[in-house]
Amino acid sequence: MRKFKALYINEMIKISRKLVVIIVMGVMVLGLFGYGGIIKLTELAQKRYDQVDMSGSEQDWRKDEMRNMLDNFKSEKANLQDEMDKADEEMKKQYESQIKSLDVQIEIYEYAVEKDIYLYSGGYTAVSLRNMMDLKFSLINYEGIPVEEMNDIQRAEKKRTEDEISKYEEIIEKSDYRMYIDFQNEIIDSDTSMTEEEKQIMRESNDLRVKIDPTGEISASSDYDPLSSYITSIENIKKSLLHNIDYTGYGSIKPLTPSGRQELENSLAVQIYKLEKGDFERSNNYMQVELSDVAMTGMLGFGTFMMICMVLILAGGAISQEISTGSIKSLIISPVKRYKIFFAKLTSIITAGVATAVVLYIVSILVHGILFGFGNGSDYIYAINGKAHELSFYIYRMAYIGLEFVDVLVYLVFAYMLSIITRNTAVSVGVSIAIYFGGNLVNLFLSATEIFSGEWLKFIPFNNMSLADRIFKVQMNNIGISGLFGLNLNAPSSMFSVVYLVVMLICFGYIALDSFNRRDIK
Amino acid sequence: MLKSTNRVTITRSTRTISEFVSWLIGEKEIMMSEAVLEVKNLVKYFGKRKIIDNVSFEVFPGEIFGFLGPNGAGKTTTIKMIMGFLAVDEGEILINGINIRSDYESAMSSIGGIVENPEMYKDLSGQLNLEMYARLHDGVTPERIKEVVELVGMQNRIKDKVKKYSLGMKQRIGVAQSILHKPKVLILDEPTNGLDPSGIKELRDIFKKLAHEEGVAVFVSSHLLSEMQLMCDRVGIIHNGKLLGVKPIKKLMDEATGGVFYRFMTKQAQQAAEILKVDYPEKVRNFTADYIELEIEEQEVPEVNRKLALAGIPIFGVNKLESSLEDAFISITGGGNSIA
Repeated sequence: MRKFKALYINEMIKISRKLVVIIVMGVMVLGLFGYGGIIKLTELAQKRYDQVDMSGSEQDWRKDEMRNMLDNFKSEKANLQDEMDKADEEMKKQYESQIKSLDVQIEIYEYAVEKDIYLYSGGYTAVSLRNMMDLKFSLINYEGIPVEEMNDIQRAEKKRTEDEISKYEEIIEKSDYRMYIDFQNEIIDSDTSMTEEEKQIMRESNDLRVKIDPTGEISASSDYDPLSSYITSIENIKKSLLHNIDYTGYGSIKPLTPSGRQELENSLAVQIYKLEKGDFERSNNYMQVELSDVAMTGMLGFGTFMMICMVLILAGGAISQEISTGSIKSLIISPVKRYKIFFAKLTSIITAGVATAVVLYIVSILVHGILFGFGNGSDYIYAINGKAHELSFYIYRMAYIGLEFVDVLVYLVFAYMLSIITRNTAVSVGVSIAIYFGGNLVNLFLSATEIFSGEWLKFIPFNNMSLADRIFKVQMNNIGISGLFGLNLNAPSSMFSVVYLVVMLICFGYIALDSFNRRDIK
Repeated sequence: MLKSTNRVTITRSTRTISEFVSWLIGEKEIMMSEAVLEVKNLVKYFGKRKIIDNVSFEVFPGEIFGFLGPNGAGKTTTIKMIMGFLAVDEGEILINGINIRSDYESAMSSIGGIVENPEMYKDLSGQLNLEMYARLHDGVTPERIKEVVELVGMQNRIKDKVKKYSLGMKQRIGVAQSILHKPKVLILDEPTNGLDPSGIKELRDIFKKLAHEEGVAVFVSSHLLSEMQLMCDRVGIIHNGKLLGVKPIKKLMDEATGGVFYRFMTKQAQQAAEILKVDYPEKVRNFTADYIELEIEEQEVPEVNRKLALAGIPIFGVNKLESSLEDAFISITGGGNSIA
């Protein structure tokens, strides 16, 4: 052990004097600042853009838009009336119905201007007004028919529609959010097309809305309603679980697998947790990603890339370089067994990798803090068995780097093995870097084409890499360098991968150790 | 006249050395002291080829053992096996009585050396190189490093990076490294490579001091016989992987300096050889197109000359020559650089 320690210290001295270490570290730190800076600039540009849109004259701008629309409708109506005068009887009826619907629009828009409601916002008053407009459109159908000629159903339908219109009018007049919600629930209750379970889901959504946004302000505050889209996505998950069909995926609709069901349950728990925590705006929602998170993930991806480059250069030259320069002689003539040299070298390179990871962590946290504010990072929210848990930003990112290091370790030992077997630095560094990039391409190829499928895919080494991205599911928009090649859809379970990688590491290590122990150094 | 005086002096000086050596490694001494390096029936294959064939020898404390052989004879291979570079296929190596197979680390801790050229970490200073090497051995103090650096005369350049050193300086640092931990056996593979004459002399003095005053067993390989002559006490000669014999340098010198021969310059050496075979069988040493060499006494020269003249073979000149250590070496190894 004492000899091993001495060897280890010597190896650390050698590594610390290597130019490549200093260069890679420098490039990494510069790159982290650069990457963070670019994202920061993007954010600033976006903010400026937003400010132009949403500045003090926002209300005027909206009002103007509403007035313009109103003027358009009016002039269109005048045009239509001119056309109608010239047209024959047959065409007149068509024009008439068009003019009627225009009348409805004009009425609604005038009302909106009067009440100062922006019709396209997510606020409940706007929604009410839009609903009102739809209802009034449907009333047009009943207009020409005298009440006594209608059948019972039609009469009831007309009555219901009129009631709803007056209800919405009341809501808007009183600006009563609670009444709006209650009314929504009433509508759900009276809907005969839905099953009781579906109604329950809808009611739960409304409850959730009131819970998160008791006054209706959040939705009304902006054009885009993050809360609604969020609640809708929760609703979709619930419906998927109810019908056991995957509605959330893209493209084909497939029945849920047990694991898919488990995943959906977890994602539901996460979504609800986030919603209740109040940071739904920086959500798992594909539309919305906090730029600071993009910066962080990107920086870590870039850092991992640099880490792998450095470790591959160190490990790929570890033995071969010493043999080619002849400096291995002073190691061999020392009274130490070869396996100690082997492990001391390996440990020292791993130490260098760990040191890089620590530098990466500290620098990226610093850059993130300086540019986006300390304590501003998103926590990682995950769920196990349908129960949500939270991992603080700092621990989450640390764990992420830790898992990335598993990949680093595999490539490291592989390059080290090549260095010992080939005794050629160029070959071992070149081949391992080629495999690092090529592996991702193979992955991409295998996951892009559905020609290759089946159980055996999980035995492809590359499918077992990128543990970090598989355990911490990265949002689609968070494209760092590590996410450049896309998510791997063939990936087996994390547990399988861990076992697989450990077995692979032991095999590489054993081959390398055996070769180093036994082969002559000529 | 002047020439012969010189020769006498050289002979005398070598005689005294060999006398000293025979006193040093006298039969009784050898019997009493334990060998610190024992090589028993060493065999090494490269592929199917037997590179080292049943080599055995012993090196004792306080002696300088020369390992002599032409290029490719197996000197470096043997050394690399002793130093742990190459696996031992058959046979045993004992250092300080410890088999390297059974306890590699303690066996290797009493050995130091240079294999081929000394190679250091070029981006590190000589000092750091020595410190790193010292860390792997027990009980090497900073004072010891300083002492050794001064011994090899590198104290002024020791802080420089190794890549700035000349070959000679590297050689000195290599020597410093090899004796840093006071090894019982010092193994040097062509240690004077790349050194200037004064450097060679200095180094030789260091080795002699180590061996004769501090009792280190020094094992030196070389193809330079003159070097061996000035330094070694015993010499083992290796050729084509086989150890041809181990002899005290005195005996080797006697064999080498014993032979005097005469070179007759003639264009018809072939005919001359045939004629002389009759009267002087076994005396024809060698002949080429230009001369024939005979191992005869001085008084026989006129008679030979007369016989050749009678046979119509013109003699253009006669030279008196002595066979050198090189000749002895060539005659022992079967001549030339043939690597069979």
